[in-house]
Amino acid sequence: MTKRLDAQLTALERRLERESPRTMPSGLRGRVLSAIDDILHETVPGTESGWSGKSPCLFSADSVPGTVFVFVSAVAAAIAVVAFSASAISTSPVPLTLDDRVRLTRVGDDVVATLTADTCTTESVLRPSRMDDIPAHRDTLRALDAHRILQEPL
Amino acid sequence: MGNPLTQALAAGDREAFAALYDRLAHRLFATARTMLASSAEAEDVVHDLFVELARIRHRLPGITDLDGYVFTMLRNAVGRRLKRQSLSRRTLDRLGRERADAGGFEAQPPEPPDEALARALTALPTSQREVIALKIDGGLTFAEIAAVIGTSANTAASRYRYALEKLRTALATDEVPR
Repeated sequence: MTKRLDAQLTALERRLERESPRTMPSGLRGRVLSAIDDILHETVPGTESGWSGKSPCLFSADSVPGTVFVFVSAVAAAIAVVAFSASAISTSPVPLTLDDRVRLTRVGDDVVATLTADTCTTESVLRPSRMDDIPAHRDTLRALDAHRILQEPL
Repeated sequence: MGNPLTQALAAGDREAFAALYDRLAHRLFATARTMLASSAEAEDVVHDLFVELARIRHRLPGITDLDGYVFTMLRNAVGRRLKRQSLSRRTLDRLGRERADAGGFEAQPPEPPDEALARALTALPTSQREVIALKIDGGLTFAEIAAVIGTSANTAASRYRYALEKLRTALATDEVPR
């Protein structure tokens, strides 16, 4: 009985191994190394590491005085909540940095763009659109593409 | 004298990052894909993980087990994704329902080749699925898994065994065996 169970579990392990992906997504290596290059070449004079540690985020606490930061943060939070809850009708542009990415997911006829802001507080903006030029598969776009898509009226 | 690889990484040696990617990326990607049930999400996690490694490269010479450290980073990143995924999934479900109510289409994600196995894996508790992923896809030993998830090797091995048994039961009731 135990031998039979062991044999079944071993067969299951083989099955799991067969399902494990054997190939990597095309272009991932290039994208990773390109992103690493960007980071390695970020040099700020006077810093030991060559990287200031400062976020390029528009709402970074380092970039604005405290009172203004609180105000801007509150406004940003309000915008995020409104954009999230009323995503289907929202058309206001979303500020992005070069590290931001957008995931596009097709939902029926619509494409839902989920914004991941790496350098800001993580927030998601879901927005359906009917743009024809959005790829049918899930894709990750760099900020410039994301910026173009989210800035355009839907 | 520390590990030459971590020293090279800390010095910002691009080739060292490329070597680390070539050595670990495939296992990391496979592990993340099993955990997240999504190639696209797994791709993002691996991308972000290496970017983060570049950002924190100055800390790396202090790391004695680089592979374990990287897999722990992966585990943490996947955990964050799973939380976010749960939120996104609820929103997508809502949008899908709204579209369906309006006469539109339901969301149709692409089916993996072994649908029954994928379904059974997804139904596992996260703590068991991660052990399966780290063992099968990550190629880690139980001792290495134990270090990554912060438990003993015996616990990791037991969890793996429970997970396999649960998968076996789920598959037996769900499908004709292959």
